Amino acid sequence: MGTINYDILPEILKLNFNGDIRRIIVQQRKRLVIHIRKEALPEIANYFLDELSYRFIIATGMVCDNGFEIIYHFSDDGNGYVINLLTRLPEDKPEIESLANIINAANWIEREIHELFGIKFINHPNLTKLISDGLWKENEFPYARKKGEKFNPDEL
Amino acid sequence: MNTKTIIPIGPYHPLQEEPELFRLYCEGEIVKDIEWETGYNHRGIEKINESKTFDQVFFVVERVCGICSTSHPFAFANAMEEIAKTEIPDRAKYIRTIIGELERLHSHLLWVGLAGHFLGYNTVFMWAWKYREIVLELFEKITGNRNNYAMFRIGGVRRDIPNSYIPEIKKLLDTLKPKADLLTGAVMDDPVIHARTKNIGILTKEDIRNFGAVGPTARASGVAIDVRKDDPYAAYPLVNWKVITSEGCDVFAKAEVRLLEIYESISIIEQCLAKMELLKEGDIVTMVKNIPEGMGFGRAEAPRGEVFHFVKSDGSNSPVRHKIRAPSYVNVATFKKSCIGQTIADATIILAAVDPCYCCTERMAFAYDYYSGKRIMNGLDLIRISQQKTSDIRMSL
Repeated sequence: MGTINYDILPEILKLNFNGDIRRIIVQQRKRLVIHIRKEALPEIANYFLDELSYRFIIATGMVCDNGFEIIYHFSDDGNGYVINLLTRLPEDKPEIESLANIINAANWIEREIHELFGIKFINHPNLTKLISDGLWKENEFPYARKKGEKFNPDEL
Repeated sequence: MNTKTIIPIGPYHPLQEEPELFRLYCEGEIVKDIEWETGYNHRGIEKINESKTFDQVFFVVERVCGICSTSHPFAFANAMEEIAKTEIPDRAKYIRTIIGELERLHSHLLWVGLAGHFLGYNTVFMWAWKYREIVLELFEKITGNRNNYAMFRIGGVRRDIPNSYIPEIKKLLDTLKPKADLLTGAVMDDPVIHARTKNIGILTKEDIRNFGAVGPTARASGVAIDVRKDDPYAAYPLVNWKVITSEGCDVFAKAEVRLLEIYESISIIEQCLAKMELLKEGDIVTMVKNIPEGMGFGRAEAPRGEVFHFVKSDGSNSPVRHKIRAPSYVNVATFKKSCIGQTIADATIILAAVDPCYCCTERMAFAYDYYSGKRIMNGLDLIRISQQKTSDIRMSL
């Protein structure tokens, strides 16, 4: 398990990944949100998974102003921390490198996010639909709605 | 020539209580590869929650899963209290813990029964489900419901457990202990169960890490992860208990972990009841007026493993985004490893060994005609069809 001192984690990260880390926000006790450049995701995720032996929990896709956000959640089981890597993707070209080749646990959720938001995961081994099995219209992404657009089940 | 036979299990199959399709690619009796199709249970709960108020979300997430219907509100409450920075009263902590552990008891007993059934050992099935009734009776007494207890709210719980109930709860728990001994004895000593489950469906520590598996699935491979210990919440840090692990890595180890956890759960409930007696009745909620802007990362240990809820709030009364990760989502994926190289007969118990819950894994159901792109069914259509059918039958009589 990770034996890291969380007081100095921001310095360690800045030292290792200078420029790739945009912001580190301590959301609550034991909850950190780290804003990163999307190109640096595999490298930083690898650091947490391999060097610190964190567990991949899940990723969350979200719609934000001018594009999408993906938050990758990692758990430090020894210390009870949840570390979140937040990446922003532009609306016109939502693409990011897949983590499924690094850790198998990312495989399904990347397929799900692809299906619900239309985000493309580059180098994913099998980027097919997970939930609907092709029964939804092509290029129809039910979760990729703008803020304020209310969900209407009859519309789908 | 290398020929493989495809054996489909599901989507509707007597083996499974929920719809899911597995395709086993077999050479002779040996499973060489496995594929699955999911989505039969997807209900769009994450999206629905964005149009609900925070108070309403509790009732929706309770219905993510029928069996672990408290673990989702538990994790959601933890996430919301993180955003609101609220500390809940001690009595509410104990009540939450009691409900959570009772749920673990009934879920583990349910699993032991089903596992017995899948092995063709129906006596275990009958016993386990009969003794599970004791737990459901307790739920009925405490919450008024056998399932979907509606006990949680932001800042505490909705209903108190009066101190006058405690002796009877203890009495019922005492009747459960000899039954647990009986079941544990039956499973641990039975040569047939040993023959069917030992060295079957092996998952190494490395597999657990790679698939991100959690709960008894991970603990049966010697990975001691348990959110109750790692990131303590509710009353778990206030009582004595230990994390059960096994180094067996096989199906038997998973059964062993679950059976021994039954005893830990009973012990936790007894300690909570004893401590609750000393506290003032009625002090069960901290009122929360507003939910500020922020993100909450709530976790809870469901009977099947870690439940993770991510909530983003913008200061209004409903979530901007609510992500739910149920334990089966990661546990089911381990089949890719555990089934391969095993016989078809063993595949059933391996599939059952992670206690898969497909309701949890998926969360929508809309259907489109593949070719025309037209929606095929909605609720009104179903009612119309049902009424049509009834009137047709009436006409033909």
